[in-house]
Amino acid sequence: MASEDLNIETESENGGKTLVFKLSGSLDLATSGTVREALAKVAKGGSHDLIVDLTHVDFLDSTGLGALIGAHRRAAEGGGQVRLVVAGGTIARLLNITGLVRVFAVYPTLKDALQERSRVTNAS
Amino acid sequence: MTQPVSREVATDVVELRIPAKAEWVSIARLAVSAVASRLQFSIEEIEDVKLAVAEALVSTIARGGSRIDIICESVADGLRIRVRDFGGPVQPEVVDVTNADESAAGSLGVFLIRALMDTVDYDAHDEGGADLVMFKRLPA
Repeated sequence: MASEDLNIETESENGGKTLVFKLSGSLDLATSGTVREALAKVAKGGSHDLIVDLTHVDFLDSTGLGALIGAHRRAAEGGGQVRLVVAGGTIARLLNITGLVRVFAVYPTLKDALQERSRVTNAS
Repeated sequence: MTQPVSREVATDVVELRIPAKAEWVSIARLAVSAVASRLQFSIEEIEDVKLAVAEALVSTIARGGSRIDIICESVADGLRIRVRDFGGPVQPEVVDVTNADESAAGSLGVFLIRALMDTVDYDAHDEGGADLVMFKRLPA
């Protein structure tokens, strides 16, 4: 799935219990609506254990954060959670500045996120 | 956003006019980061400026109008960026990032601009819109 300059790949893990969204490109005003819809669709379908891999996202703005916050809220309402994979850099700094590093479960790699280990609490 | 922005005379000016549409924001980001990279900003500071401008554009696009002017002015101690929209008169307190679907993100944009830039100022201009003027100080 591609929108403007964002690509979304989805994978199923943990025997189908966890959905992984691998994003690459810019998660911004032009693309956040597509991500929001994709995340809302799986929540509506009953999937509430999500991992959003931002490793290859090169730009994230408040509208992208809004899409992630919405997914976090829906997942929590469904008894699940949204884990983020953030390799560091600008996106890690953004999560720190906004305090969202304490809202989301943030992991440095997809493997860590799948195993729920090495959670990052200060992403700088 | 009432902090005064540097009034120093610009030595170099780069102006960009884009349609007030989401798909043009990335062009503005690229242009502004290119300007910032010609000055003595660190990579992290360039990223700050890029994100602040992107957030300003999110806000101005939400206000309406057909175009946005982005004016980058190199001054002795930093970079001053004016984001000018033509979305009609507005009171400062209603200038905000709007995101109807994810209201939690609504105030993040303004918060980020304030956090990432050294000073932020706001004013109406006589062509029927708003000026958001941001300043990033060069490292000493």
